[in-house]
Amino acid sequence: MARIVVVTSGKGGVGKTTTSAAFGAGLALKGYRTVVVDFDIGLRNLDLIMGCERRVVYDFINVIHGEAKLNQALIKTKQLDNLYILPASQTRDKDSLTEEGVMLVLEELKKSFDYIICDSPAGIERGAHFAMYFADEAIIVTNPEVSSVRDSDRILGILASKSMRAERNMDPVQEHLLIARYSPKRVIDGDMLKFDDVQELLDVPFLGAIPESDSVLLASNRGVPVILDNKTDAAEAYMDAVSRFLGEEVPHRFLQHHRKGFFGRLFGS
Amino acid sequence: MTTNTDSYKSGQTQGQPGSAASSFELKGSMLTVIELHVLDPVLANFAAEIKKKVSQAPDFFNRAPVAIDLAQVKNTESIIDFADIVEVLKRNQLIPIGVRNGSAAQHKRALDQGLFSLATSSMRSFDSQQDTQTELQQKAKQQKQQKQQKEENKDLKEKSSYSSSNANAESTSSSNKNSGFYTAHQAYSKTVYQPIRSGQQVYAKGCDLVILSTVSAGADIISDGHIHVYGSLRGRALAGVNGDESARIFCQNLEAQLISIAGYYRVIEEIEENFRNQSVQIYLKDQRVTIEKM
Ligand SMILES: Nc1ncnc2c1ncn2[C@@H]1O[C@H](COP(=O)(O)OP(=O)(O)OP(=O)(O)O)[C@@H](O)[C@H]1O
Ligand SMILES: [Mg+2]
Repeated sequence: MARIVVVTSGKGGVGKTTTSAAFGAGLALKGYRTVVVDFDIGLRNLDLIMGCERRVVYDFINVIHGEAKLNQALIKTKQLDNLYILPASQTRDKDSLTEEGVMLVLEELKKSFDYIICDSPAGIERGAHFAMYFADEAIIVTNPEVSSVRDSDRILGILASKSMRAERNMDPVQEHLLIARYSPKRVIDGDMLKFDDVQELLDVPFLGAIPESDSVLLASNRGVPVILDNKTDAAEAYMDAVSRFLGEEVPHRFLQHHRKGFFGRLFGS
Repeated sequence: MTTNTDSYKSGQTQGQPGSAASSFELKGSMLTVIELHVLDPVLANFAAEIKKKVSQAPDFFNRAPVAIDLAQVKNTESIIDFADIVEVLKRNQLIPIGVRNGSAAQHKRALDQGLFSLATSSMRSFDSQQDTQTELQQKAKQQKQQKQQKEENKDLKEKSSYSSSNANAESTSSSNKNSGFYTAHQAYSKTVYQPIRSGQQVYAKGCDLVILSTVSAGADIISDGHIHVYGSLRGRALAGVNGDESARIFCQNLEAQLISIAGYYRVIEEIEENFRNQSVQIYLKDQRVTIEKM
């Protein structure tokens, strides 16, 4: 049975699109047929960071409006055979999303994919609403700071009251917390909230923390989902989070600050 | 390098509303309905088309309530075969509930098929909830001022801890006690199992409120009676909002932004440090919000 997973946060720029791409690639690596759908209509970021930008001909909105078939708009990624994206439109605005249109596209995707990842735009407006409305599971991306946590809390409230599952009195949307851009050093310095404080404030099962890392920006500039960028902390942290998402028990890493040893400092490793 | 966090696998516990002494409870709620807009009253091919639509997304349509909207039927005299519509919808596991935007005659015929007249506009915005909230806070403020005055009038010599903006006011509301100002709350409660998030509001009207989870900063919990919170209380808690001065707030972990009993309140800055993160009860003593460790 296909699962619809929304990646959402409320606040902008916290790492939703990075996480959508990473989870898409991670699930595909684990053998699941996965598609990532860009709900950020008008901005369109996902195709860029997944390296598909030049191959976008038709988009999500074209499909909704019957101007293109779904398989004309789906783009297979270069890196993985079982990973696809459905790009957002750059020219239309978010009002061109309709509930029925979104539903029909998702229903169609359910027939050929195991996981449908919905990359939500920031805010609680139309695009964000439709990205989460049909979700079975939600990954709440939060940065370790008060305003981001507050916005995530707000989104959790909306998921619990305004998603289709809530409105139909079905089993609730399954929630997961992912802390992005975590810097143990800045936690020690008191500039950031500690991961367990965030977890306690939001009271949602914890998928893991992704360390703040330059490799994220570098990977997205190259159009490679960060998780495929072997050996970086961010890639490993995302892979652990994907494993936990799938129910595996994996010890947490990247939560502590390690002072670099003499050689580490010398060679900057 | 492993760190122990709450085991991921533990998941969340999702409870069912518990049994209350009363056999039912009335709640306002918003229900999303599917609107069936009738474009042509003849409805040719209706059965086949509905069947097709439903088969495209069986999960979405399964047992969904349907409102029949006649706004786009130009001729208000048109006879619409409601019996047929109802039959087809039901056969496809949809639940027809009513009609709207038709003529009086059309609505009357719809009623014969068990379809009620629905209000034209069904949307209630999120903001209206927040309006009630500010209203409530205003009410709380008014009550506080009222009582403030009363107290000052009673004993002008005693130093009141409230700022006396109107010390010479005439005694206007001396007979408050038996004015029927509040109605005592009844002996049953409303129980909430899920976390209450920023922007959400829960009101236990006419009864106690029991919350088994956390109340986030930015959330409001309101009750005509007592409030019990078994998770952390980080939002605003208003007990006895209808005026019951015997109402109390009990909480396991006090981090509240505001606590109020019968309109008297304290904001976070007025809560002593030594009560923060403590298990406490809060009640009214000599018309002051009093906190006591438990
Ligand atoms: N772990 C990380 N370390 C360093 N930089 C990161 C990390 N995660 C994300 N970023 C950077 O943060 C910026 C925003 O990330 P991203 O686009 O994924 O956020 P978003 O939540 O999708 O934003 P929007 O709300 O605009 O859609 C990007 O420049 C990205 O490279
Ligand atoms: Mg984004």
